[in-house]
Amino acid sequence: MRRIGLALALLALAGCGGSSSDSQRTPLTVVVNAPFSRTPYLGRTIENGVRLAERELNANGIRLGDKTYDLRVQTMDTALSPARAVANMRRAVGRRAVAVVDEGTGVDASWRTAAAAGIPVGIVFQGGSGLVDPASRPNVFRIAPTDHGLAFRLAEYLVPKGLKVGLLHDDSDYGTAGGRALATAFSRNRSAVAIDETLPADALDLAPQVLRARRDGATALVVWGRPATIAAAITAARSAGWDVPFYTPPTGNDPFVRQQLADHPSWVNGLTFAGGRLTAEVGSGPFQTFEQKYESAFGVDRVGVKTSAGASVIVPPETAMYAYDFVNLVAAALLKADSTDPRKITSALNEVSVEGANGDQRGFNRLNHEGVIDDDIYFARFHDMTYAPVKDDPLSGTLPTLPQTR
Amino acid sequence: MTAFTDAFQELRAGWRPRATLSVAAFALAALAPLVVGDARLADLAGGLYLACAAVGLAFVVGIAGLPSLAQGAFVAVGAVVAAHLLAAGTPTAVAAILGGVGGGAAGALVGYAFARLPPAGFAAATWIVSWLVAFALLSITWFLGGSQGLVVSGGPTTAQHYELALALTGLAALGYTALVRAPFGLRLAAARDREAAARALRVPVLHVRVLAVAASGAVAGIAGALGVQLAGVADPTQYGPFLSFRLIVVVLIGGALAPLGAPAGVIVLGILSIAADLIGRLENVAASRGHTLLTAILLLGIVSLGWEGIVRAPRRARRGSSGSGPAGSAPAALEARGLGKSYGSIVAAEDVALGIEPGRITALVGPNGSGKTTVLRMIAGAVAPDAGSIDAPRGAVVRTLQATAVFSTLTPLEHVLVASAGRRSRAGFVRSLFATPEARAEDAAFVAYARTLLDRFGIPHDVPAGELPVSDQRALMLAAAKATGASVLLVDEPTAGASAAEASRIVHLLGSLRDEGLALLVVEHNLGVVRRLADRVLVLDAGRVIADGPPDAVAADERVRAAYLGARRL
Repeated sequence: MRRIGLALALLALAGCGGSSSDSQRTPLTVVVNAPFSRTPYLGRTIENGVRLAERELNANGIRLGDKTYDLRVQTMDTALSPARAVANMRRAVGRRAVAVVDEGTGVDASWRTAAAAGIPVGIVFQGGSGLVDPASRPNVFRIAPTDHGLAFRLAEYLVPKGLKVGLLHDDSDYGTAGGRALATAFSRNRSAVAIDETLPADALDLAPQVLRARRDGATALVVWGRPATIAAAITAARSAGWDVPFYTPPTGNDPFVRQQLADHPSWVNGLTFAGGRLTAEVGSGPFQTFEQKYESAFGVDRVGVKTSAGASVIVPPETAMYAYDFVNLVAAALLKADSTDPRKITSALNEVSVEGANGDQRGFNRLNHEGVIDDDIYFARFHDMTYAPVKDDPLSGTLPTLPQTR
Repeated sequence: MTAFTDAFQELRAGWRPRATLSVAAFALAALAPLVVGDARLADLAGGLYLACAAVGLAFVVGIAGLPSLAQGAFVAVGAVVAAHLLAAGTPTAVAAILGGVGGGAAGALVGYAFARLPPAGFAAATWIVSWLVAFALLSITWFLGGSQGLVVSGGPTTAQHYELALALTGLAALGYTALVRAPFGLRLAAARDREAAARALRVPVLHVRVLAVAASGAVAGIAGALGVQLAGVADPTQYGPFLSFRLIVVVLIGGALAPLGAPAGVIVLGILSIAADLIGRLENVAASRGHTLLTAILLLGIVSLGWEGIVRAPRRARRGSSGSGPAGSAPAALEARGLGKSYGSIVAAEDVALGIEPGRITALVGPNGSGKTTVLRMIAGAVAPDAGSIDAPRGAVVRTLQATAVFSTLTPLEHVLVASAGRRSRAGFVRSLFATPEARAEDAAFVAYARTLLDRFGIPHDVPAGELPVSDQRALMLAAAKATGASVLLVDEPTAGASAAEASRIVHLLGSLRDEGLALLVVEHNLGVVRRLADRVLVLDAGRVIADGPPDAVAADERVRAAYLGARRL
């Protein structure tokens, strides 16, 4: 009897232990819904961004009232399938997730499932114009350059150069949405467009389409599609001896493009991509701090190619930065709402802001759920497998070049 | 009320422990929404819709013997139709029905185009169909909205979908059971086992196969239509050839010959999916790739082991009754004049004239290559003559094949039911599917008739025909020919390879058919049999009739002796 009493006393003592100890923290699930199996680099970089934020936030925990919470990250693979994205969202609801960090595939269908449970969805890659709408989709937020912004900045950049632009987009969802955005952006300057062509996303040889653009008088090509499409288009042009300049959305910076062209490094030279700027008005310091934290946690993301000097090329964690920022916003919303109720978190997301990884303020409001404004889009051009901001664009010309070799 | 009482009594008489287990499993499964979360329930409902489509496929694979690899394409057709209708605000039930119509139409088209092919050809052709549909869905964005999919909202809740999917799977299995037992299923099985013999018994092989593939497509279409609403988005990547592949794997794992084989296969695949997830987590392999890998390995294992599936085919007793069976066949004669047939420069038959009269046996003899089988096939309608005419009442002629040709997996009782199916008036597809009282009453009467016929021929009723002795198989061929109701029987070498005792049995049976008033034309090499059996003998040589008359007169004919009999005596 005494032994039982002693055991019960020990148990009671254990139960009364410090409330802030790790064992006493309550987990809050954050789901990462991304195409891990189909575009592994993208999936992994989003996950890493979320996990980095998770580590930092869990160092002290998120204190709401008298309870302390930890974030727990769960990954789900969409395999670029909208149906799987919806099924994953159901699982996220079933696991009582407080937020979903989403690559963007299938959000047109999956946001309803999340909305029914009040869960906020943060898109950190796709920029399709219809994905985010605070009025009709109040639980969908985005921290990523929009297709609209990218396309208009491209038009704004290219038209004054007097180029005849060939607009090529692939038939993936990403390419199709981009194609629509480009058509709208260039609609006021149709004379600048030599050809508007759809490319098959899975084709290995795009020579017929690319050379048709050449015949139609294109002096520059804007290729909007998956990394494989961009690499195939460059290969088709350069193989035919056509030294046309290429312009792309952020997928032009995907390591896959350089990996595909590794045997012909000179073909990458001149490739210009548009993306959300990684550095802030205060300079590159904040982003480099973030990059250091990222690298110490996960190592560098190597492209798998080298410069002519033999230095190994790495990728700055751009998409990871967006995912990291969104999780920090969710944490801020948790504190603001003082609740783990997803509906309250969604509502609070409209009222909070945080300093983003690049030093910019990130935040949303009830009328705007876009975390990257169109004016923040810059252009960078590749040379010797690394890129630098272009000098002939007012914004880009002011930006520093980030180190990309290790 | 009587019909219900009869149905209940029939159900009770045929009830087996397996049925109790199945009902208990379905009842238990119906309670899942009480204990399973929404996400898992959606997975289960999706699995059940897959099972529903797989039951349809199992019927085509197991009963019709057509290894279809296009079932996923039929699911896709149903999904496309329903997605557009649902997006336009059409009620779920209407969209599901029209999805089924779409899937059925696609199935009919595929069946009509490819059901003539041998199984390997059918598999290859349907696999190409799967690819074509997948390419179309991905490249023509109108179908399913391209890679972002076509959003479908509203409709039943996940729990309602689950119960609906469970009910549909049960109904599909019941439909399978009803059709397998009906003449439709028996004819398909006969064509699967031995197509030429089935055709000889007047089974409309192409027709029943097309109907089977269409019915299977309709089930797949309904499953696709409801599945797309459950998913909330019509996603073209979900309907690639891998879906067809998964469905056939499910059928092979579970067993194609049992109505609940496919659902059992889905359960196994579900367990494998969980295993794939676990392995994926351990090995850092994406679950989607793990599924593909495991499924492929499993299929290879199944094929290499000759696996018949987890659930074996149930064998159920058939109820006979004293009701009226088929009416007796009216006596009929056949008259052929000037028949001619050439294959290139080879003349197989030339100016052949013969008459076959009721209550008489005419023997057609001649040396090898003399044209006997060609003449027989022309008279049977299997080969069109180049010249001449044949006068016989429509549907009055049936023939047996030269080789011993039974449907090895069917019982003798089922053989006779296959043969007599053409005489039934209430055994159409729909009546059979719903097992209407008229269909069941007619079935019972025909079963009773079949048992009587088999008793008369001395053949056991309920063992697989492939396990019967050869003499029983020969007798069964005659019984089946008799069951067709034909008045004119064309019998090709009925005693080939038979012992003396077996030949005597055949002679006795043929004699009894003659005594019944049937007209028989017998092609026979055994001249002793011919002499004992025939009322009249025609001798063919090099495609021409060289003698025609009573056996003794023909035996004495010098031209016959010289050309055919040589030194032997008739």
